[in-house]
Amino acid sequence: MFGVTPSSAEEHFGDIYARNYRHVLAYCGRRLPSSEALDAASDTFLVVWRRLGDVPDEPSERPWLYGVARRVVANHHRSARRRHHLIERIASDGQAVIEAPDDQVLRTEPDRRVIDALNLLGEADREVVLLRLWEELSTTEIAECLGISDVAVRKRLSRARRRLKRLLSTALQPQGVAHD
Amino acid sequence: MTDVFDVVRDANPIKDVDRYAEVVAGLDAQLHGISWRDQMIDDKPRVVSSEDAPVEHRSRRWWLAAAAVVVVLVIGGLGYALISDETSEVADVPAPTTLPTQAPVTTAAEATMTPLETVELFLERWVSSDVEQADLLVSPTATARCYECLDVNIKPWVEHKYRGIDIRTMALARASGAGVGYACTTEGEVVTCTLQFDTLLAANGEAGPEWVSHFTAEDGVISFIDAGFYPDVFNAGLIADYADWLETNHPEAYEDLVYFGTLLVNDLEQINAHRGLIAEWAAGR
Repeated sequence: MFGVTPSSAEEHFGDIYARNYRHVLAYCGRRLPSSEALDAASDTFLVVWRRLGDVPDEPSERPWLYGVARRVVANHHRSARRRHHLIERIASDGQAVIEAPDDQVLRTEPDRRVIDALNLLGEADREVVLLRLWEELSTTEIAECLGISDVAVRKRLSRARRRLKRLLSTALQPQGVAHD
Repeated sequence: MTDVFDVVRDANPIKDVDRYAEVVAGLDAQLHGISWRDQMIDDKPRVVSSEDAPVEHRSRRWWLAAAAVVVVLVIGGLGYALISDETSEVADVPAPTTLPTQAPVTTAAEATMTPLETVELFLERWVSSDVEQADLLVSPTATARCYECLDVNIKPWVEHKYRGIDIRTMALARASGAGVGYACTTEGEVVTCTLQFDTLLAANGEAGPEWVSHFTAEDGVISFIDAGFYPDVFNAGLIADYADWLETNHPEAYEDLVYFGTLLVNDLEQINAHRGLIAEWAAGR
């Protein structure tokens, strides 16, 4: 079934888990409420367990895991959509959107304008930006994660930068002098 | 002027992944009110070899699938709850000593059932998708072996995300028309059952490989479940074939029913959708 004995499979899985769990949980936590992030992280590692033979060696391991987590998170968004029917916060084209953190104890409250701007990007561009800036992957790792070329990653980053700059123009202004 | 990517970088809601994992795991433990380590009863296998056990009764029930066949690929399997270091580091989380949940509701007749009868009734309900009724035959303090837990692998049954023996998967298999066969033997309170899916999606269209589960039951209630490290009974090639067919012929459904090669069976809507589509796929093969 796994091509390895259960005990060696557990050991291999345990190594992958120990190296990556916190990062995968954080990935999910940046895109889902913490209560759902825990489930999503667990679901991600269930996929890992079932596809143990497919997990690439480092350094491709974590990008691969983020690729799985990305689909798990997307599925959570779809499930939420089914449960609650159309939630206004979800874009009409069905794209997953970033939700502002609801558990302020655990996470810092991001600038709402930034979240809104990110949500206005296409899903493909947004994910590249987040993988680069929040997950701190290199362009090569992002390419592995998403199954696209390095060139495509750089194009998306460039496009997203231009668009974000426009969307966040006021946020980028230097702090003004306080007026009396 | 500030770089726009610096602004986005600063908006990262989780900058310290270690701290986040520590706190989230702690809150999760509080939320569930259970420290499964504290609830661990023992780690001794309470099983008997099916070869050694005297056969008290043997039954074999088959639900043969109708025309089309089914699949249920398991997301679940044996429950995978949080494990290892994240949990162990949450030392300051109060650990209630009682397990929640209602007591099993058994009828007077059920209370006098033998362990074998109890387990067979449990399986009968299980394979017929009557999950709630099946659960009533399991003690709220029952434990189960978790094959995907890394360190301690005996956990409270109620903590098993997918109910350990994978009731959910079996219910879905039944809902989709798959057959499940089982045969049980018993010695004292320990009941050993050999189970098998009957699905054309197993290799070569034959019934899938068997696996063995063990149960401990007393007074009409199951107190311990070792579902067994059951094999992957479904043929990955056929599942991939179905998924490819789905993507080509029903792309709109594919989006909601498949991800990463795994068939999504999270709710009845998805199950029913798969049933119809699998029948259509099978008919065209």
